Amino acid sequence: MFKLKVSKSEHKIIKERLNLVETINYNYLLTDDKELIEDDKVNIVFNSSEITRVTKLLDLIVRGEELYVIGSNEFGQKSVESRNFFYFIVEDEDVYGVLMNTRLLIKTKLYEIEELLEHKDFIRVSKYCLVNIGKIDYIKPALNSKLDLLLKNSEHLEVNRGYLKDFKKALEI
Amino acid sequence: MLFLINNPAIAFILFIVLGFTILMGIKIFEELTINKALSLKQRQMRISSPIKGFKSRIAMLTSAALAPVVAVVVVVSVALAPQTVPGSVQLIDLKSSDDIFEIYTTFQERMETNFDTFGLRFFDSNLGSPEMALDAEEDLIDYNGTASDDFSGTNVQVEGVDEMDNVLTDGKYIYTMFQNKVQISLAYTMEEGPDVLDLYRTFEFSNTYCDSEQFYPQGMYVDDDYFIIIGNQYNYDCKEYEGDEGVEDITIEPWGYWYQNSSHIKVLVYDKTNDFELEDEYLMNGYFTGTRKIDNNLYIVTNNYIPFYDEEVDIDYYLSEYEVNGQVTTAEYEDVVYIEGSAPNSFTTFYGIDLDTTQVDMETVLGDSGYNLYVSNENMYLVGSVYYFFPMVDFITLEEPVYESQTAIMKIAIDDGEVEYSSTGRVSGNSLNQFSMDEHDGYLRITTTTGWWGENINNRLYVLDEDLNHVAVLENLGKPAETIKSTRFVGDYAYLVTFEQTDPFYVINLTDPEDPFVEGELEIPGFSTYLQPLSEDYMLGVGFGDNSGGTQGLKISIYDISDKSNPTVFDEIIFDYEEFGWGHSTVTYNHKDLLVSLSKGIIALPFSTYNYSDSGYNYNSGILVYNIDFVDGFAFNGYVTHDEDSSEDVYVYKSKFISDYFYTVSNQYIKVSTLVDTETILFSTELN
Repeated sequence: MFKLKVSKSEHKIIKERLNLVETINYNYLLTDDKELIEDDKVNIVFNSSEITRVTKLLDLIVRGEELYVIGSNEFGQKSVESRNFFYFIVEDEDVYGVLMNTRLLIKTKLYEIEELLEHKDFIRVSKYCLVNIGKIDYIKPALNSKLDLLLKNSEHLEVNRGYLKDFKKALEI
Repeated sequence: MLFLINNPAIAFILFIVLGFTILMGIKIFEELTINKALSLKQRQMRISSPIKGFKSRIAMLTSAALAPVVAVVVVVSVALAPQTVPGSVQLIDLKSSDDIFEIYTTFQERMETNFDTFGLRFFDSNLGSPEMALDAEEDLIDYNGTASDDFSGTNVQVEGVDEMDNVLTDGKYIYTMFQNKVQISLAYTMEEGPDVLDLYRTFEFSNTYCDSEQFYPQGMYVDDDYFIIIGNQYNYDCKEYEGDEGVEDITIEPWGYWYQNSSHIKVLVYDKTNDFELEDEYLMNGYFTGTRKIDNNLYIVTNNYIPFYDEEVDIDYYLSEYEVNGQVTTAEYEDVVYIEGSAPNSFTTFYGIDLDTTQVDMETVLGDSGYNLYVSNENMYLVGSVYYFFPMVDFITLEEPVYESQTAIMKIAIDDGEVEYSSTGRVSGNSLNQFSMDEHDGYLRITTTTGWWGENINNRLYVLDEDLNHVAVLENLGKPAETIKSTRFVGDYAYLVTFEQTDPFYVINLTDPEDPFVEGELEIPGFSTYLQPLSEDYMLGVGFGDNSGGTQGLKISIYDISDKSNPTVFDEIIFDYEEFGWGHSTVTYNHKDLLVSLSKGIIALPFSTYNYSDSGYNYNSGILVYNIDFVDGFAFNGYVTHDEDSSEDVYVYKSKFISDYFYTVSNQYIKVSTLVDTETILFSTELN
């Protein structure tokens, strides 16, 4: 997504401070030297004193448009930012969105949520489950060629065989 | 690979372990990759949350993957490559002959033997030629004369511990032994003048195959009271055949003894004070291993091989047994000691005989026969082979030997005719001879050599405590590929000769038994096969060496060892074979043939030379005599010839002195001269 063009000696430090992962195919070019801008890209020229602000800017770029999912629990209806969901799961034909401390009943079909969150790094791991990649803590490959996902809320989920390929693709393996 | 084919179970386990390890490896790799990708992805998502416990998780997985490999490696290495072998050995109680069978079967299974591990004994078939049987015929002649108390005894290793020999003197008589004859010659008759050398008595024993009374003297002892002859008695199974028609049915089968032999050691004790009257007769079953005499106590070690290959073998028959003047005593199984690891193929028996009371004490050990006997004033040490079986040998099959052959040292305490098993120790390698061992202040020191040639030779000197546990060991003595040629322990020092190309003579300081070290070293051409201390400062060496730095000659040296850190050659004599054809001295392998007397200032040793011409071999045999002192070294005294240009070697083997007279003994003659002028023969008597 990003390409950082700064002097070699500072490259590492700035990259770290920007919490940046560079990619081969990038849309954004970040640089502290006007001369280095590339015409066909979105160029962000900054000076080093602005790094904190640039970081926030990058956060916004990556998150993109904030997407809210509406669901309800015993306390009523809520609109929650999609990245806060751990996963969505179908139970008895109802879809639930699981949050850190609660779960919300969602009135949308799972495939609709999947379409909605297409660019929000959610990935199907089974017919009934859609997981937020950002909430995965650790992945244990199981002997039966499934994957065991340990989430940051200590819950476990399984990646079924049929979804393995897509899962790996999502992780860019 | 052959090992795996031999052990399908182990191959299977290895296969499983290998599979498991590969699987685990793949899993670890997969887990690493996928979690790295996750981490990268999350960073791209600008979520920075380091994965918790990632390293410990991978460490856990890795150890899980490697644990079985480590386990297999540990098991296999323990089973196959024990570098440190326990010094002590285990004793096993026996109750009956069944226990012995069981031990034998286990041992045999372990050895998986198809080869002759047990060293079948082969006899020298020339020992007894079928001649006329003469039952200890005694020729008596008149005699008178006196004895001298200044005479040469047997050249023994340990002072006070007498060794059996084939020529003896007690200051009055000379005792000689040849084949089946023992002869006593009146040697010293000062009153009558020196020209008397009479054959006083001859004991001639039967050496006929099938005669139950046949007897082959092996050696003799003499002291003030007793004259003792020790020998073998073989009882061949001389069956009479029933011949075919018209053929006499008295065919004798003398080779039956291969299969149904029995051998006895016979000890004949003659009373010297009563004109050599036979006083006591002892008989022990088995074969002769060794003997010593301390004061009036005679110690004998025998070995009786149990022919397990005979399916109907009756072990009772081979169990140690002795007879004193016809009274038979047999060992009890409960008293037999078995040492774990030794080949249970024979009974080795240690006898202590009190010659005054005819009391016999015995200690029987089931095990392999020993080959070197060393006896101090307090203990007997018999060196033999023991097998150290690798652990788990009963469960796995190996194509390589499953044991390491080692030297077992059996220690038997002796005290005034009593013998008691004390302990058994083990050391690596083989010991050369009785001089390889020495007991000093309760410690046993022993030198051994592992390997015969090449790079793997290791010469060691062990110091063992009273229980034969290792106290210290010096390894890799000598240069690469050298083997030990002679050892002599003198008090706190050991003198060691190793050889391959040159002769390093080592002085090893043993003052601290726990920390022996090489103090001095001398490198000279040739090598000594026998060392004998002359004094604290001088050591005599007899061995091989020539004028061109090789070993084609007889070499007699005196080493100056006054400075232990810097031994030097004080003097040496070389007889280069080139000058006279060929030659040899029995002293190079039999210390008892050497006469050394510092009080008389002489050394004497047999030396025969021979060369080959068209007319055949020409032998010149005699005794070399040198005067020695520590100022001039060697000075030639004379060469006492027993035979010149003879076609047969008369085998000159001994020299003795009584007072100022010098006696040399060969198969044919006893010759007497004076110590001052050894070459001028005063009198000569023909033997045999």
